[in-house]
Amino acid sequence: MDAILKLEGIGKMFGGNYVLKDVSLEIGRGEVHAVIGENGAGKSTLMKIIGGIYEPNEGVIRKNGEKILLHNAIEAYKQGIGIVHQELSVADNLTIAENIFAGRQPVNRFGFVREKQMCEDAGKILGEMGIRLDPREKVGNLSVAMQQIIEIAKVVSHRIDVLILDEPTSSLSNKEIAHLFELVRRLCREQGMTVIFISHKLDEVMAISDRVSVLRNGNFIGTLSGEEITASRMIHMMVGDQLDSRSFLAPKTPEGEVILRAEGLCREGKFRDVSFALQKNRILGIFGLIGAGRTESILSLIGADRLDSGRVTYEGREIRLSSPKEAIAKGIVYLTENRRDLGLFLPKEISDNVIAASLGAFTTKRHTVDRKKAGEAVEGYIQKLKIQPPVMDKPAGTYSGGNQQKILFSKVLLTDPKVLIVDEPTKGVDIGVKMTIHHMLRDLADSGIAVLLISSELPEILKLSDRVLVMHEGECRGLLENRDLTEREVMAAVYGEKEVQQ
Amino acid sequence: MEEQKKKLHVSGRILTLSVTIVVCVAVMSFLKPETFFTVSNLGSSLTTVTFNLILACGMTVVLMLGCVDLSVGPIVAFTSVVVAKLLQGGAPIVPAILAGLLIGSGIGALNGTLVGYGGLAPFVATLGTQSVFRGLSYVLTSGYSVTGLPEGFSKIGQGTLWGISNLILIAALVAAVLALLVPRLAFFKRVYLVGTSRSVAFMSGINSNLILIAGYTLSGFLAGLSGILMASRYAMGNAGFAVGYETQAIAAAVIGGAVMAGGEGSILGTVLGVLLVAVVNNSFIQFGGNAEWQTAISGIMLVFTLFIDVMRTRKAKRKGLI
Repeated sequence: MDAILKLEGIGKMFGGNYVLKDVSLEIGRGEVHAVIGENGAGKSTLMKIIGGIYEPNEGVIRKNGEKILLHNAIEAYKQGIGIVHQELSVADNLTIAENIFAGRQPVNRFGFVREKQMCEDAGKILGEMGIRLDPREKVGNLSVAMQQIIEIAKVVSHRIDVLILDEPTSSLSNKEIAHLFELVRRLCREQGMTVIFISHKLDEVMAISDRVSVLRNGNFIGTLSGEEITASRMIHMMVGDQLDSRSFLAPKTPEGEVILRAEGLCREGKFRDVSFALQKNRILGIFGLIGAGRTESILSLIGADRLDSGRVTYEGREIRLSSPKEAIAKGIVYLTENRRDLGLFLPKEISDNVIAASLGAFTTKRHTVDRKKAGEAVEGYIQKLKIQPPVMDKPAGTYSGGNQQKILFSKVLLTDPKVLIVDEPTKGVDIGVKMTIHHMLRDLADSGIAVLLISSELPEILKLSDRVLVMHEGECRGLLENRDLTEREVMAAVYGEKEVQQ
Repeated sequence: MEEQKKKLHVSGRILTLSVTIVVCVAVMSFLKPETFFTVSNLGSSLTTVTFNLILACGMTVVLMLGCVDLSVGPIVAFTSVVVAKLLQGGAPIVPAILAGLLIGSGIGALNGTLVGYGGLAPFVATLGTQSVFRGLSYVLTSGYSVTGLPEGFSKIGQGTLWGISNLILIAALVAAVLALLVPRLAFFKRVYLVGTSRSVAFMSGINSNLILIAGYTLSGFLAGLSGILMASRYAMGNAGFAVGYETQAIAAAVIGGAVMAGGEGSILGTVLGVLLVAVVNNSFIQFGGNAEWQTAISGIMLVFTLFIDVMRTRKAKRKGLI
């Protein structure tokens, strides 16, 4: 095989611990090479080393057989390696062209930006990628998926031949993912690009990759190619154990009474006529693509946003929640999909995060925080959810995605909810933690909690939901009983029958 | 064991500050033995410190909220003017003092409401109230001092107890009470959380706006207290009191460990920050420097501390800690 990149014995330490150890792998020229592994397996660290952001403590990187040393992203660009990070870094208020050429706009001899040339160049780069957009458009007006493509264009414009995509699909809908994959294939085919692709989603990996390398706990486990790339094989290599991730987790307790009923919820421009009922001991799944109005209707329900009209009945009485504070006090608790901005106090230690939503329960009569009681409660969740490392005083932001999600779950569960609303509860979480969370949600429902599950992942919806509410473009498109429900049936409900027949 | 580790970590800055202060004092008493440790020098520098200490305690809470209060200087002046006017007009001392505290708290609550419910940037909102209340003070006095205050009132700021100035005792009491309450009260836990992220706090069921109002009210209350004490100390109300005091309060709090982005800060650190600025200022004067330099010096120290903070953050980022 003609290897464009060769990693030899790469080792990286943080604070005395190896996060990568003796990783050796080859990336073939012009291939799409997926790197997979659980959270904390070292994927992102490895990519940051290839992209010049971290320096390895041990080992050698060779490009085209020659040893290269990278100290920063600019040197990586010079070697033809570019990385697109998970978090978007486009500037909303600048145009597409300005974003692509950020920091290196062509200028005339007086130092003024040559607007016309810049737009032409940007248009050419987009054209090569098969994208038809006006380079003068403000990036803030584009969809998240398009912004991501601009981000890719920005990196590609550095004349690179190795493109690293770090979890590019985490906030895209299925249709947008298909577009992205088309673009990746086009880059490989027409520009001879080599693409390294990081993902959690195995079906995506199977759809796009020529070869797949697996990391586990900082070690390189192996590379699969062609026929070898199967879900069960990848899972086996990632977790070292055969786990069934798809089959329906059935409830073990009989269904309880309706505890919360929403009727005709409306908010102009966001969603209209959203109705559903939540039963104790049951999980209602809400499925929809990005922009379906799922999160928006829930935020309005719990009082975090405005609600124009509609009725909410809770425990037999009509209520109107005016803030998340009221919702939490009533036992209606929401686990956000936006961990960074709405979920966790990242610079604060775990214990502060876990007790943040139930401070009242840990306040003594003298208005002080009952530190002993709080410590015990936090310790309990650290043990129960196996948060790693199991200490209370580290900032939440220093934990891996999966462990941050566990911290968020601890915070929400500590409030002792009667209605638990979880929004994309396994977003950016590895397969092991995902299983844990799935079983936990079913156990919570079995214990008498009414669970509302919002998810864009159909397998997750089908695995957990007793009923599925389908939403599309701000409207409810149907309520389906999950009796051997298939993905096709749900998708049919999303688009309505006409579009499916076409 | 975890508990121990945390204490050591927290004491890092406290230790640095304490050692620096001790070293400065030691060096000064060695270089200027005849003047530095005299009662008149210590006494005069400590009284000027008291106002900064009270204001810096309030500023620490506001900084913990991720905000800033630029209006504390004018609140001091406005309170001194109103209280002096009341007393001049024959009002009894205790009601006049209560009115002063109420005015300070009220302006603080106004700041908090503008920032919280009004959604104004803290810098802009308090810059506005800063001008308004400095201006109103001049309107009320036409630029003249309000004098002729009863002796009973001026005794508060000029008197002593067990040989120590009342001002120092009151400032020490304020700092001690807050130093004890801040790490313990559930309210201040909420303050830290709101300062770390207002949106996360809101989603966690914390009424961020109320916490903001309460924090600003505390700062305003302490500024009102300073205004009363200043009026008593100088036996007058004056619209020109406490110009630039907000900068000094911010400097002391930031040197003591508060960060402008919010979510950090401690009263003990702030106390040490105030003392360090005072020691440096005093040393400067001892060496024949002009007292007018005070504001400039605290500004220089503020910039220096912020610079060190930036370097530290960068280092932590490189290590992958943040």
